[in-house]
Amino acid sequence: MWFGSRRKEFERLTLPYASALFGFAYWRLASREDAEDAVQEAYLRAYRSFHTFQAGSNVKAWLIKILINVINDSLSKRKHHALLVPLEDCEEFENRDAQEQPGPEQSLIDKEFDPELLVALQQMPSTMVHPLLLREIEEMSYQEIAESLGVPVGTVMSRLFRARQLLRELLSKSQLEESSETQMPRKASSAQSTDKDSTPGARRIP
Amino acid sequence: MNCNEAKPLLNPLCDGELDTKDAALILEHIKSCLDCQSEWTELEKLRDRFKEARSKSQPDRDYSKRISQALKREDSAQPSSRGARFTARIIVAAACVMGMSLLVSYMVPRNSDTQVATTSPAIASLIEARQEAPQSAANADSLSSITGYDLKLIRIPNWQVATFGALNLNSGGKIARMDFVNATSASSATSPSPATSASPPSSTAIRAASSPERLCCYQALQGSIKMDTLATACESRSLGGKTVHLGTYKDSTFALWSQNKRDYLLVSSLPMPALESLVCTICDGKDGNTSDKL
Repeated sequence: MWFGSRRKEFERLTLPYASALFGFAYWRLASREDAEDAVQEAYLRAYRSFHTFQAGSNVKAWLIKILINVINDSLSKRKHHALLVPLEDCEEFENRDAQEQPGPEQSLIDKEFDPELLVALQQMPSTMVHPLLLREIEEMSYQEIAESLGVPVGTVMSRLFRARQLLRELLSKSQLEESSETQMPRKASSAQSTDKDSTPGARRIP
Repeated sequence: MNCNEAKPLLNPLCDGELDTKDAALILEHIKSCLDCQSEWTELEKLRDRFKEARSKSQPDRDYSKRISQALKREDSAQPSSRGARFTARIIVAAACVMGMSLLVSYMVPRNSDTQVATTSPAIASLIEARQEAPQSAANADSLSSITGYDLKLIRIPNWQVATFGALNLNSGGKIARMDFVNATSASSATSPSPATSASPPSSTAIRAASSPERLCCYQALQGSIKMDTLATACESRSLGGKTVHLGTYKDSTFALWSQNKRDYLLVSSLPMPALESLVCTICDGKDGNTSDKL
């Protein structure tokens, strides 16, 4: 009875943000399944620490903080996973070159909406992509972003400025490569991080 | 406004973070500046691209339900963390209360009337222990120290205290017991006195002539002795102003009543009417010759 009412209260406060949180996680992790898992894990973590939530404070900002931690954990696992299977990756890469077919991972991304944007976002460092996604996908104000990330509003402004500049560069680069591929035989290229802080599980640029 | 002033504010303008006055100034500048106009167009394109992306990245319809189910499973699978924190608080509070109670019980003098006996023996077990020899005590005071409560001495006309001591209970406690022997039968069994031989012998005395009549009297704090399964086999009668529970168990008769903040249990092989008369003399305090009438 006590658990039930507590859970109902938690759901009443948090579930309206489930869809928005999923959008953030999806554009960060570039996978629907991973995004669903991450958001669900974030909800469970939030529920476990619900007693620490202060009534009246920003629920969405609180959830975003937790979700970012979950996403970072998920990306860290990807990194370790990638380190464990580098040879397989190479073989897959070589085979794809020979057959001129995209790998399974690339195929999944290609099926998604706006894969160029998805891939470009994966190449961006989290310090830039997080405020950008909070603004563009979550439509949060600068103040809310600052609260969620624990940084001053001025930092949010400068990071957003740099993030958009970098994103435009990455998209332009992608567009150039795509147009050159139409003139030359298709040649796969691996995604290279432009920053040490970039997504460990970075995808290949089409 | 020039380009150096306008360019850093294009992003906040795009994000709707500028007030109307600043926004109007920048928009006015953009009209006349191709460089800023190009920058603004790029920002608008990106904004539209994200707007489209936002609309295309929705979870499944039942996603909220799935989260809700996961939360429900969390509750049923782990009642520990949050819930048990609450439960643990209750347990700790209960333990504190119990600890305080134990502390208080230790602080109370051992011979005080207020001490509660830690035993709750049932009548049946006490009756069956009738043949067992109690741990004898040198005197009433030493018996009180063994049992943990003051012992009340009972005077039963024509019955003498043969032994008194404490009996160990299975539950770990001790209960006081006095064993009486019929003075008349005892004396006649050993060396008949002139007084006894002069008067006509009673039926009890005749039976006791071969073996002296014995009577066990258990004594515990009021409420300690449980009626247990024998409750249905008992008959409650008012004797000497007290409610006495009378009954038989195996080959014994027994009587249980409360008096002077004590439970008394008499166990004997006397017939029920004889036991009733005996209890009556104890309860009403009369120093009658009930035994002689038997």
